[in-house]
Amino acid sequence: MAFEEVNYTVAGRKIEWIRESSNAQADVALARARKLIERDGVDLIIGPLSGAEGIALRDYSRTLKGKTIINGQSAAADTTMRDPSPNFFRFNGDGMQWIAGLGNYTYNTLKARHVAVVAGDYAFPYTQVFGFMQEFCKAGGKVTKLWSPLGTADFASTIARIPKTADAVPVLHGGTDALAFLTQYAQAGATLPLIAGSVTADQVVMSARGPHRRLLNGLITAGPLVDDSDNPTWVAFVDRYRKRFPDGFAAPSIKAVHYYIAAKATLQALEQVKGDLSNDQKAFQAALAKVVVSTPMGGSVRLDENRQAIADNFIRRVVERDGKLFTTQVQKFEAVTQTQGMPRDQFLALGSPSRDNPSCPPAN
Amino acid sequence: MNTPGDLRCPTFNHGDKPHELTRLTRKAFLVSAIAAAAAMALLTSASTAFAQAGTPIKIGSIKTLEAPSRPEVKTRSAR
Repeated sequence: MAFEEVNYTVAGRKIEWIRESSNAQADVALARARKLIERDGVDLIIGPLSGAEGIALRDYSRTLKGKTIINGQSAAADTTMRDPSPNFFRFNGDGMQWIAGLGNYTYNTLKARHVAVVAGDYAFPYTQVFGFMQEFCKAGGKVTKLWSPLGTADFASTIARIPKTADAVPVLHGGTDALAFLTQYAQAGATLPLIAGSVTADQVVMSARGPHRRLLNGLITAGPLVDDSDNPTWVAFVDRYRKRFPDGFAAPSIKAVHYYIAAKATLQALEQVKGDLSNDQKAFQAALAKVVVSTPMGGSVRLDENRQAIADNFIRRVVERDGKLFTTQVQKFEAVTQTQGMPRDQFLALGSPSRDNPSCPPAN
Repeated sequence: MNTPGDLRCPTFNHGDKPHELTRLTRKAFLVSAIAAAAAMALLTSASTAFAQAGTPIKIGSIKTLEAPSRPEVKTRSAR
């Protein structure tokens, strides 16, 4: 949509767009990036989508001279938090920014004191769990963590290990993993209340048919966009999206929105330098670092010194309307930073998000 | 007797003062050299921009395909 809006032309130069797909695996994303750079000779790449892929492309970008990678949606914290690459730019928040406020909301409003977090065993969920636990554990909550490999089809053992003493189950899976878990959770007749992660309550999952829809309706979730926002910019964007993709979702997915923002930021910087990518793209990259891009949600995104987005985030509730699921706004947090407002050195001292970090298990 | 780099006039006796014309010539040469370098830089930049203007900007994108993503996203669809 972003390229179509400018008729595939920026600063008088035509845009040639070469699309590649990956499968959320770092080695596959890296192979696709190498193909785009080395065989197709692209000037820049917009992507990737998944956490580990982002870290792989961040590392690859360091080996490139005169090329730029603009992240699509991948949201692992360390992609830009630690050892950032000078030619890797991310205009979306990381998983921690997307979940800002949910830990406090779960403790203070939902009154949960012990939760069993169900999440994928890779970089992006580590980041979401880290963000949730920073708030929830600090407030006094206890967390049992249940990890599953990406692409898990059978969640029976995970569901069986959810402690009966837990007050709620934050589900931080996305895509097919979320569908599989929620479907099997519904089929198992489990009754503990659920809380949804940023890519769990997303149109990719909410638009799919199945028993999981009954579970999703009414859930509290956190994320960077609100489907049924009445902001005129968002309403107009959804309208354009629906016309462009009549067979698409009821509202644009989080992926669609972030790739759109990345493309808009890229076009804005290209316009500023009049399409000049000479001198190893130095002027373009300098312009990109300073871009303030308007978002479809009616806000704006700018980058910090690590070329990482500072963006708004929302606590949301899933609602059903005309047989379709949407997210609606409960709370808004403006200009959420990657360090959650903490000084960078203090935040870095907390360590990298991982299976074991942070930790606040319940007493046996 | 003049030595290399000696700007005193060899013909007229001006004492130790450099010949005014020689000094002006040197200044003019420096100014013109700087101007030429700047013009060359501008020309290079303009020619780079001109050369780029005729070529497309090639943008690659990478997106994860996972069910229930849309099947219409093709592996390689250049435009």
